[in-house]
Amino acid sequence: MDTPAIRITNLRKRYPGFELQDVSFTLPRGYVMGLVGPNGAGKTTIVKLIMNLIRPDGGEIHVFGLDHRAHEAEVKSRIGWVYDVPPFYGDVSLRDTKRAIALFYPKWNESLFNQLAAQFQLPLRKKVKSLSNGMRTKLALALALSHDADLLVLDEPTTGLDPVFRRELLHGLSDLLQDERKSILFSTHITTDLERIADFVTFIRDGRVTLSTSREELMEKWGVVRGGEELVEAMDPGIRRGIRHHPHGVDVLTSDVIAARKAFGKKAVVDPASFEDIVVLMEGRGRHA
Amino acid sequence: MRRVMEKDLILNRNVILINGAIFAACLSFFAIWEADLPPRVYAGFSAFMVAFLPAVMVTREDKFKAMILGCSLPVERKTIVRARFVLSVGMALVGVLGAFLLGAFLPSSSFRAGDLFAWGPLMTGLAGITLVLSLLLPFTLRYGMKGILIFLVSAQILGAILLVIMQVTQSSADKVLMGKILGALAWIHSLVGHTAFNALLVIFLLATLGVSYLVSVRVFERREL
Repeated sequence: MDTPAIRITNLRKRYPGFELQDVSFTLPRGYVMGLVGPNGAGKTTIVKLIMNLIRPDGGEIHVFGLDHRAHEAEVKSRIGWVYDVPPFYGDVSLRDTKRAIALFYPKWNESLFNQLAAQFQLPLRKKVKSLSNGMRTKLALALALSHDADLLVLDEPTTGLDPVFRRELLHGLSDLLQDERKSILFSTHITTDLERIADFVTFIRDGRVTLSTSREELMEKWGVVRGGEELVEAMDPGIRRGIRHHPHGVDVLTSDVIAARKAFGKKAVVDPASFEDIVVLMEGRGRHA
Repeated sequence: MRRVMEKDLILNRNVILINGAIFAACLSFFAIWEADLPPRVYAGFSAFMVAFLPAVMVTREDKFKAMILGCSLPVERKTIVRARFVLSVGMALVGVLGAFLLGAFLPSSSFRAGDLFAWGPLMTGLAGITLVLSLLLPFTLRYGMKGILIFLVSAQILGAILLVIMQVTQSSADKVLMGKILGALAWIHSLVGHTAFNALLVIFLLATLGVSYLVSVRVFERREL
């Protein structure tokens, strides 16, 4: 069996007022994993831990089977990264920024970079500070995609991008996965982005993994049961994973849609659960007065 | 390591050149207008100035939060530290050499080439660079720009405390202590130029830089970004 692109085991990190607790998940090679959760859930902390920008208090991270700290340079040479705030020098031109970064990657593909820069309409002679946030993210993407990385670590890459480019980007990432060696870890709070491309999804809330599974399993087994308030009491608590009350009744998230259909028949509507349903209902927010 | 230095030079080229030009203007002023300035003081002052050139890079790293960029590239943190040391020492040596050439060959300069290119000023310049960088780099690698401020404020507070103690107490013990310190400095001063002493001084400076490097690696590996 192939070594996974990322294997995280019991990862812990404590900050004042926040704690990442025993996070574990595996991203197999050749797939896209979405890291989903509300702001402050711990997504960026996980990305920073993978990139060794911060030190874990416990647990292990293996990238392509290698300990990410013991083999830091080797691991990072195979990762393309995009952060929510691209860390580029504002008063340096895009061309010089590219020159400085390209030095580190033996597989740097200059023609691919130029092609992406043209596609993203990046003004290479201009300084980074003249770019909008969205354009800076495009620059980071062009850099991340130009060195034949086996793993892309994308932290909120679609934040600040217009809808047209967001869709183009997602198509582009899907195309990238035609090469079965490539894997993507995609952190976002915009769940609709992930529904287009994620093969696996890990939901995070308050520093804990609430669910980590394949999209296939989610589509098959998870659903939202919509009906009157009596649903809450009637549903087996073992398959009830979240509740949202609203003026017209209640939405209940279930991890066993077949059992729910059997139990309620025509007394309730059972819909497939979207990623957004899972985030909102597990969060327990959305209680309407 | 070479790639890290090249990256830093590409990303900081303009600011290094601008600061170099400002330092050159400043040193030219001293060389021309401060006719009574001893060559060793000129050497020490220029060394102190150019040793702060790496601070320019740190300021920009903080401003653009660009340490994250450096630490996301495929290179170990200890390599980043090593590159920062080599680049800083290299820039400072080039800076001091430039300051000496400026002092020696600038028209109307009060120095002659022989005044500056002598053991005393050379060793003073070398010691100045090494001691400032050895103290400064661990602070900046751990705390960024804040580290430079901590370094400068600590040095000023220490100096102020010493001055106050000397002025207020005026005790004979202080006078004896200060006399001993000044005597030791004068003794060191008289030894500069002796081959054995110069060799010992270079070994001491290299050891100081080595310790500073080891401390810097340790603190930088623990830095969270």
